[in-house]
Amino acid sequence: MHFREPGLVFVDVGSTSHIFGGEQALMTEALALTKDFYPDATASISDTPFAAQVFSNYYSEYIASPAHEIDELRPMPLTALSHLEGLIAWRSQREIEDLIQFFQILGLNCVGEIKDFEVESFRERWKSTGALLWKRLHGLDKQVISPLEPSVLLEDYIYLDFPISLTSFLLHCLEKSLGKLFARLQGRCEYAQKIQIHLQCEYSNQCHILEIAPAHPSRDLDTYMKLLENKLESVNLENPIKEIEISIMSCGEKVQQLDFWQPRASDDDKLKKLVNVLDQASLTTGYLKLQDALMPEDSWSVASDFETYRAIEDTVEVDGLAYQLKPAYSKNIHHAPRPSLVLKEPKAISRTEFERLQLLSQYPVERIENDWWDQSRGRDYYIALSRQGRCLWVFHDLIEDEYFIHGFFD
Amino acid sequence: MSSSAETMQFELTSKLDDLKSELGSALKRPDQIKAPQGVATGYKEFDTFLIWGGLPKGEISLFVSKPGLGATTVLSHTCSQVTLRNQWAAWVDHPNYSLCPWVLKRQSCHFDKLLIVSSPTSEKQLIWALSELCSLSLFEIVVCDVTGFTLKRHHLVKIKQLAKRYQVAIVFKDEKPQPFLNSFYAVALQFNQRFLEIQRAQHRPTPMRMERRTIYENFMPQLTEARKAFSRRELPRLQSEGALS
Repeated sequence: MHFREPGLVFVDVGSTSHIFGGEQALMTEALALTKDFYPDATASISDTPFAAQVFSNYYSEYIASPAHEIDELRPMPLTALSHLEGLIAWRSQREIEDLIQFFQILGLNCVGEIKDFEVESFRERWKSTGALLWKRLHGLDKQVISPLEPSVLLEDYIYLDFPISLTSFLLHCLEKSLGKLFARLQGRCEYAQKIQIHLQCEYSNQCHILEIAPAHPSRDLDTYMKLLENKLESVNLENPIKEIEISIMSCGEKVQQLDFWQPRASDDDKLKKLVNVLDQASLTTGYLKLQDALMPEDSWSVASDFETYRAIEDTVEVDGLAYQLKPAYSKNIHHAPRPSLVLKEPKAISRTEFERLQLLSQYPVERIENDWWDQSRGRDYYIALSRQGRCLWVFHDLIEDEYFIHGFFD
Repeated sequence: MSSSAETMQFELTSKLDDLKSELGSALKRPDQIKAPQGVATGYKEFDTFLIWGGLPKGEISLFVSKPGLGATTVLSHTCSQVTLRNQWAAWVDHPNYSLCPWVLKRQSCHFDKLLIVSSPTSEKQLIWALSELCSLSLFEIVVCDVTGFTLKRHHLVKIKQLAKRYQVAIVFKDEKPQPFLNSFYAVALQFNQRFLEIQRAQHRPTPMRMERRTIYENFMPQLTEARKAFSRRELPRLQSEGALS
């Protein structure tokens, strides 16, 4: 596939048209898809890209007879030469217009009439452009549509004749543009990882920059529109928006093998959408993930993606003939009396307050001590009852000789 | 009895007979009416008391408890039970403390069915987050710590509508009671030093008290063991010192 401004898309359909049921069916389907975005879109199929460009300029749908396209170009008017470009545009349209004008002065009006001139005549008068034109007229300019992935940036620009200060109108404009970009993403088999939108205001060069980077990249336009709507709520649109620039950073899509009976919109998809929406509003959302750590506050995290739980096990490091066993502290933690609520920051209490608590055991229920060279401190944990009957998880910092409440058996 | 009163009574009786004959089998006795199944907490005494057999779906319940009195244990156990049935639960955290997953692990909770959401910053964001959670029609129960939020009538009306529409059991956990808003809650519980007081439960005689220690007996074997160990170790010493009569 090759894309060239302004709005020309060249696709090599030589080996793929049979999948769609032939060239006609393929062209009809491609046109139907394109007309959602560009109602005036036209298409043609030909042996060479430049001939296809000429035909698409004169017909809405056209398929040239194989190996006879040059003959079919013959009756075309001379002005068609300005479209005889294909993947490589003319160096200067002015040059081609002069060339057309020259032949018209000579009384020649169709392409077929200039085809019989020698290549030297073209080269002598119009140099390399003339030689290239002669080659194209004789089907000798080999243009190969690259099978490589398109490298054109996923960007769009909108200029608004009437500046907008209403969120709903702005969303409508953005939806249209994002729809096009997402269709391109689909063609590339990619997901949108991050969308950056510059909203240029009408007065005083003010610019709002919106960034949407969901936790789960996708190509779901609804999700992105929702995220965008939420983001726009915090934008002051008193200074109306005049220009919009959109750029998308893409990433490879996750390939998932769906079972025939599996619903296409699964619970996971719904949740990913929810996680993205809440995440954008600075609400950390996800699943609990247990991890091996000495300090209780570090022994879990909230991850946006669920990872299958792997039992925490001791590790053995082998270095030559030496073996080192590294015990995992959290291996049997779930058998230990850990509280149901853990304070994010331990709350310091005075010694008097600690002494007022009723300890359930004389000895600590858990002692945490790290290696002496580590910065972390030794802690003795106790289960204690307050006078109000609250069941607390308190610890005695052995280094600083301080007392803290670290959780509640709530 | 005057003749006019007799006439009125006769008319009423005949009207009632007419209604009975008209409605026929559609009429049901109170014991035949069955409330929709709620989300069982696993705390038998409490579940049996409630008409729904657990926390009601499509309604809001309120648990008033200071940290350390037992509300989280009941609610985390409820969520674990929900996930074990392969259903979804959501937990909206408190800004200062988090739900400890090691307790849930002990209850064999399926972490892939429990969604944790950090604490919202305002009432508006809380309601928005709840509406996003409920509108998925995925969660059986959504537990939300509302400590520090001042929920007003219109907030609760909106949340109640959400709960009803999507048939989610929404449970609020608060440290302070909300006496003026109790009528919005289908179930309102207060955890005290010794008792769990059911202040409101639809179609049930309230207030009703239950022993709080039973929660720990049911759900926290470690504490029970610690208590037994304490008794084994400390009681003989206290008895020998004559501290216990």
